[in-house]
Amino acid sequence: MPRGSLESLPPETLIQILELLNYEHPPSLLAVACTSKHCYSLATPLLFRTIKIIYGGPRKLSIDVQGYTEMLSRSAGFRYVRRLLIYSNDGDHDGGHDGDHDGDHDDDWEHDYQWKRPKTSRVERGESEASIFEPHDGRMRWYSDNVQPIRDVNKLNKDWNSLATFLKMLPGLTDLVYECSELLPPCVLGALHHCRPQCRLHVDLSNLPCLYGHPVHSYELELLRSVCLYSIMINFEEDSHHDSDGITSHHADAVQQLVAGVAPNLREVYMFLDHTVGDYAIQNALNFRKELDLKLKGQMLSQRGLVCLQFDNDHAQLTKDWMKYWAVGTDFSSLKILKLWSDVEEEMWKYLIVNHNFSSLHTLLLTMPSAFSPRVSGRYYDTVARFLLSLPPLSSLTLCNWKHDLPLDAVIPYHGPNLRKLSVSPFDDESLTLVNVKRISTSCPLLEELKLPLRRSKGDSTEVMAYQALGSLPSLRSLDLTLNASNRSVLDSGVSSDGEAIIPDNPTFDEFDRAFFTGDQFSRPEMHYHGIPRFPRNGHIRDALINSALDRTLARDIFRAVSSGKKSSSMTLERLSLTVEGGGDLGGDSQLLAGLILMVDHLNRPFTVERNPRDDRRDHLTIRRHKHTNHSGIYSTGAKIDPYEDIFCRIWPVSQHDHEQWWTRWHSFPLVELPTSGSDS
Amino acid sequence: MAANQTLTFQSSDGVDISVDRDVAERSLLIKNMLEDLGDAHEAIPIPNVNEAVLKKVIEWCSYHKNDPPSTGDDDDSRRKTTDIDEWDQKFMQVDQEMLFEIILAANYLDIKGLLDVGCKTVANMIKGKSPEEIRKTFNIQNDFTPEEEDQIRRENEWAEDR
Repeated sequence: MPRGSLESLPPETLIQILELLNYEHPPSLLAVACTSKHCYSLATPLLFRTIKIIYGGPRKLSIDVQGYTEMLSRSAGFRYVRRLLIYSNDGDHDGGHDGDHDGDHDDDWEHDYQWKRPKTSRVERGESEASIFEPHDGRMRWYSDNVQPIRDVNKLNKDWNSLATFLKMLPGLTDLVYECSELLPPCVLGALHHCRPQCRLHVDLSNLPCLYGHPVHSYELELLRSVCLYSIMINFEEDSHHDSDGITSHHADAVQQLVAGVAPNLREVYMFLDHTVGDYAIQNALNFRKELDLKLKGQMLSQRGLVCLQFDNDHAQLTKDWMKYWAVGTDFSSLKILKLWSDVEEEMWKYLIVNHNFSSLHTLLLTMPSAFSPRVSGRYYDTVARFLLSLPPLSSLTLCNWKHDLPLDAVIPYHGPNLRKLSVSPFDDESLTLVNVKRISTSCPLLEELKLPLRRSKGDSTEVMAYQALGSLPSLRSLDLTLNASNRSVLDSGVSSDGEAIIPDNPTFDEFDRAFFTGDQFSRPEMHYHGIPRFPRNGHIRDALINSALDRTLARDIFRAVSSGKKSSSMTLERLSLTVEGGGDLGGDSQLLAGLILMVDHLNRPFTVERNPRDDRRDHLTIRRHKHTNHSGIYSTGAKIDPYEDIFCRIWPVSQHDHEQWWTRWHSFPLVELPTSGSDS
Repeated sequence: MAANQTLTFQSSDGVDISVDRDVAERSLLIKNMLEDLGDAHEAIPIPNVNEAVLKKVIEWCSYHKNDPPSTGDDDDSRRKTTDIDEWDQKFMQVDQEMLFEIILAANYLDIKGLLDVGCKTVANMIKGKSPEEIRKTFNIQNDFTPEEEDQIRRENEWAEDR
């Protein structure tokens, strides 16, 4: 074998290289696998590690199982399958078919359906700390609105025997994820218990009949007491289940018992409660009505301690009582991951600070109130900060609905030395200041992944300094910026002592800029503030347009500006995501400048800029433009240039000929003093 | 602790090279051997590694002699990424034959940190390239039929670019 050939390396070394490619760039793993039979044989353990089946009726299931069986037989690959994922096709999974398909019955599948291996996400492949059940990839879940008690176990098995047989052929299986609206079939659980008792079972239990007050079937007990049960999701929605007709919710109670040791190896819980049921379930749970007893008779329970706990409640706050209730059976000191997807009342923070330690915690997601609420006192954010400072230094922190009242300058330096991932999603039009950004950049030497909101200021030196400060983070590889283009000070600046509306002026404004804008069809005469009419100046509208304008050139230039803050010893920035928000929001009643807001929507799209992974083209950037999530991305007839034409044309002259297509006749404004950054192109 | 002892390595092409014991002990093979043998007064033969490669390996070990020992924690995400220190990157700017010789030597001498850097360097050379480019870069003979290659691609679409 020639020296310098990849195949001359010892297999274990080549496998180590393939592992790196699998983790960082799977397309390259596949490329190596395609080079030769030797490389392919070493890559198969990685290529077959995770397999996924979208359940779409018994016929499709048997075709899928047969497809996998043939694939794995050809390469003697059964032993390499570690993770098996079963989803129903009623969620938004990447199915094994190309068209839109909404049925889940056998007949709905085309008769010429051919097996195709569905794509998998990092989370599904177990390469991310995110739980398989938490919201990601925009996945939707649907639940039956009429849960019936189990009457015939054999009926549950009817369609699934081929999967149970397949499962027995996978000696290396470590994780089975089952997320279908139907109950986990007993034959599948039986195969797991019989052949793979060490395998971890991740299952959505939302439709378990006994949780709705139905008599407990022996199969339900077998499932809940399973040694395999490792992580569970419980979703309980108000729309589908009402207590008023006599159905009782035992969800919280059942999960408590599982955590307390009924499920001896349960380590992860994701619980979603709709608001009304949430309140009810909490009350029900707090009353501790143990009508549902899942224990074996005389069983002494012992728990291993949860490592991951997640609560989600669409509309209601998580309360101190709720946490107190959980504390009875849950040792918070063993938790590594705590994610609170709905906001939390102040008393709960206080309770946790005083009564519990989270000594093992490394990942926290917390959500602050999403509306101005009288329940949120001025001290609320101080209490949240105290809670954050009572934790061990975290490696991953996500703050949802962040407001500047939560002092990042105190929290970040404390967690900074350990942080690898920081995500700040703002409340309303909040954004970080240059001071905040500088504090982050000097406190977080290990930070690899960062998401935060920044305010645009027409690409001036403050804005560029913020980009460069972010670049100075030595380990930063992935950056997600929400660029805030709003300027509410224009119409929210109050009234002077002599009763005149204060509309900020700007020394750089010329006569045209300084003139008040009265041209919007919506703006006159309603734009009042306490009865005093007020208008933005033309210059404010102009600035709003410039701050909203994001095209490929600016996306690339921001990437370069961030990269220019990097020292040569730093990790290179690999990926930048950009979204513009708040364009045209000048304060006051946003409806009054609705025309402007519609118009600026056409001046930007979300962008992703990625560095080419090839070592000989590292300076090449791939720039992708995405659709707006809130509209179709095509010209909206509601967006009219007319009232703004003079302002628009002073920035971007549009000929009469192009007038009809004004939304294609603009370009972003350049950033100031962009330092050269090598040969990025 | 006694003053740093000097050992002698003898390369496969018969050249003696002096090396401080703490540097030499970056190699687990050498470290374990010294623990078993006590002191080594004679030149230690390194049969698979020639002078040029051995000098490079010793250069790496000297620079990294004070690194903390590996925790062996495979969950450390840093180990999984192909990030390489600036110094190591420069160190690995050698021709491909030397790179592979260094990797083989690191594997033989059981120098985990150097092996990791070597593997990352090769992974970075592969990333983003087509199978044909990889074959060309790394002297790989294609023994697949086009149909076989196509089938592998179809069966592993999950790994295609998203």
